Amino acid sequence: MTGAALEVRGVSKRFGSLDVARNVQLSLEEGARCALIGPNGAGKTTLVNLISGRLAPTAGEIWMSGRNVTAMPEAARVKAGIGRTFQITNLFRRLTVEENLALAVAEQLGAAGRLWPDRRARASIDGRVAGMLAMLRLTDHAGRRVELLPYGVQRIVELALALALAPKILLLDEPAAGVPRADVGIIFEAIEQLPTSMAVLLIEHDIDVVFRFATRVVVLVAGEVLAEGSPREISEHPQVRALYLGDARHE
Amino acid sequence: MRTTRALDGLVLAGLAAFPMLAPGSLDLGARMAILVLCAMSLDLLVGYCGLITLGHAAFFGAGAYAAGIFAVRASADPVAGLVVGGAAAALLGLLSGVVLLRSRRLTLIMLSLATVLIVQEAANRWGGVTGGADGLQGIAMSPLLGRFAFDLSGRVAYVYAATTLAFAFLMFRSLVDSRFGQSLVGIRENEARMHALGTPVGARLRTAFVISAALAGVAGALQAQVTEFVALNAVSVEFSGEILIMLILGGAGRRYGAFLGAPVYVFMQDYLAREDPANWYLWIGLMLLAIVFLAPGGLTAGVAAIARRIRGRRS
Ligand SMILES: Nc1ncnc2c1ncn2[C@@H]1O[C@H](COP(=O)(O)OP(=O)(O)O)[C@@H](O)[C@H]1O
Ligand SMILES: [Mg+2]
Repeated sequence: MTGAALEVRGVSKRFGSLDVARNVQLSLEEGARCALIGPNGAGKTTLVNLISGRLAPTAGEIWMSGRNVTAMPEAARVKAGIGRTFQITNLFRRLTVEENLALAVAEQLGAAGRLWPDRRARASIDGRVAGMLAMLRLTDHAGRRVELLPYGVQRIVELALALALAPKILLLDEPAAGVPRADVGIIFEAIEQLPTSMAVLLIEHDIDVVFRFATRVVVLVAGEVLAEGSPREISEHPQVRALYLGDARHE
Repeated sequence: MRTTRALDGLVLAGLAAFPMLAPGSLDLGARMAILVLCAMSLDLLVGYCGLITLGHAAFFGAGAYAAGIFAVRASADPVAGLVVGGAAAALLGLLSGVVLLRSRRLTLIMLSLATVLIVQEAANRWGGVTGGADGLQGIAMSPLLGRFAFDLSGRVAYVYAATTLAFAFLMFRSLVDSRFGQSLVGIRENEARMHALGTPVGARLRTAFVISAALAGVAGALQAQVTEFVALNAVSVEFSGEILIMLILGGAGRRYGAFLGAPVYVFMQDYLAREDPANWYLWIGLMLLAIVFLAPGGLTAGVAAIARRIRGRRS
């Protein structure tokens, strides 16, 4: 049988004496729109790192479409269909926006290992890059070095890199953090237009955005899943209200 | 893009024109071509992958010894020896790469140093075959392609070395212009992010390592054949350092760095060794300092900056 697109089975992670993930269960069906919320330091980013293969769990397993990928290296998991963004922008700063995207697109098309220039591959890479740039309104920045761009635009490039991989499962770690209000729309528009077959896990602090986007919400507190359910269930969950929503509303 | 193509052409034209421009310095020309090739091969690692190594002489030396021993014991055909030298270095690159590429930065530098020392000690110990400290003697190359005997003027040697360099440059150029080359740059710029793009980083670097080693081995083979001698210092830490200096002088990761750095280094070395033999290393050191502080991208970057200014003034 092929199970859910992504399944986190009883995953725990310790940093020294700190339990950052405790027996976390999480499952994303194909096309899921799931939000992961929780206070700072709850372990959300760590969970993304565990799923993407950047970190190895202390206990538990990660499964993708019925396949145990716990021992699979990060790059292989990307090839298997996991894409992610980084909460703190993680780009090729000295390369141009276009070059950044071409790295991802070439890898996704399987052309990145080609040892000689290949016109046809180049044309298809350039085409895909141009499409991504247009979709995210980055065309005007295409030839500029990433480090020279405003942080808000860098965040959009960060999202673009993950989308360029055309993942089956997309993990978005606070994609709009640090983006000026005026540009936030570009990011959430792009997220709303993601293919319906793609399973998306969104970490986001803006509760309105979360409730608009997600059909399911997981609340993580101190490394543990405190609650899970539909946005309505979560908004009515007393502990969540007390612990998280109350705080967030006051921010 | 167009400038790049024009400069590539200029490099090849320069190699072809050298015998006309400096007919009395063909020996020097061959020596420079060999060093350019070696520095260019190192550029793949240092300039494109961002891997600093002090072990490149291990590959150069492996190629030199393999080609030299092959000439003495099997066949004196130059082209066959070139292939043997390149293959031997590639094999060493493959084996050492598996170990070395697990580390980065200082650890990598230390391991690469160790590689040179091990290969050097092997050459020293295995004196029956390599000639040990006396060097490998008794190489007598047969005519190139069975027709062109290596002459005293060094013309054949130059044409041979320069042609090999030209082919190697064409290969280097297509490599750095390829998606593979670009992914090496990605690894250099942000290795961690490359993993998150699905890049098999280790495999890419190992491939680059083997190609770089093979080219260095070809350079070593050329040296063994052209000088008909292999000295133990072909596999020395000192020579490793010199190649790195040539590359940094010329500009790493800038396509033409080796073509500027190696000749300038050799000129300086020859000139200073004549004018101020006691202090020439001091001068080389000062020149390096000047480059690092005044033109951090090496001579290539310096020349490019000047060209931009001139063009800016004109328009
Ligand atoms: N590499 C690490 N080593 C030690 N502690 C870490 C490491 N990464 C994260 N932590 C700790 O784990 C906890 C959870 O961090 P994180 O996953 O970034 O939370 P969130 O994304 O929910 O804000 C924090 O207390 C953080 O300090
Ligand atoms: Mg976080």
